[in-house]
Amino acid sequence: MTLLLGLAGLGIDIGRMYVIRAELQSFTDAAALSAAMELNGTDSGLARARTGAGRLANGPHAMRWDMGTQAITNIATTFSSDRASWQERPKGASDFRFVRVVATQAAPVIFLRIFQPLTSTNVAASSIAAKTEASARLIQ
Amino acid sequence: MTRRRTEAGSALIEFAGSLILLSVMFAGVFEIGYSFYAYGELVTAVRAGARYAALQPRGPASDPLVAKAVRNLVVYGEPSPDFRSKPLIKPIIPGLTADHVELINSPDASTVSLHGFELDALFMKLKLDGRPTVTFPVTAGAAQ
Repeated sequence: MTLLLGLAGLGIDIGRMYVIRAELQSFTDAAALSAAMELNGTDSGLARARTGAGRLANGPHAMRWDMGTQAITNIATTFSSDRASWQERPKGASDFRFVRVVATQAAPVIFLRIFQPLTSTNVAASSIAAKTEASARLIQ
Repeated sequence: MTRRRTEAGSALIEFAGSLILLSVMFAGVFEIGYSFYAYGELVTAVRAGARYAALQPRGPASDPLVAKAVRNLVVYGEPSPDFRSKPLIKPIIPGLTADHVELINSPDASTVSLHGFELDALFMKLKLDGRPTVTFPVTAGAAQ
């Protein structure tokens, strides 16, 4: 019986995590593109890019997680000029053209508690977008 | 002899009882598992629709065509499906139609969401109104 419950629980908890991952991935894709579009070599562009991801997580058309019920709150936006070192608040905006957005949320677990003393586990998605001349594209 | 028969009977009753419990459990797990699967598919489809819309040129001439293509992309997985093809083309999730898909274009973004769709998960219906929603920024060429 424990085994059956455990298997059923694995299916349900992990199925839920996959849904959450898909939702967060859609969000980070859009957020990274949206932030990259703002990069224009100026400090004000960089400032708009820094808050760009948050705008997609709020408002009437906000993207949400856990089957569209929860607001996405934990968003990290970082910038890079070479895709090697990432900075949250770069000094001087001129050559930063890569944006990485990472969204992490604690997915609640129901059945996996049978095996582990945990009530949630982190599910994360990450996207990188690059600013091109007049547009932006997803690169990862 | 009498005693053995009694035991056989109680085993049968126990089996029947556990069978009911197990079937209910399996049905429940199936139902929840299916709703997760279907919702995941819908998120992916809506994302594809929003991304497609954000990459298309804007204008009074092209907007209705784009809206139609986005609906087809979300429901059938391709922007211009061949409806006369055999086997007949089916929606990605049973019951999903183009009327459930809503496309909202703002000057700098395209939002696709589902409205009024009931996800039929065997015993319960999951009402999806306004979710999933995906918004993509417009990245078509130099459109500002």
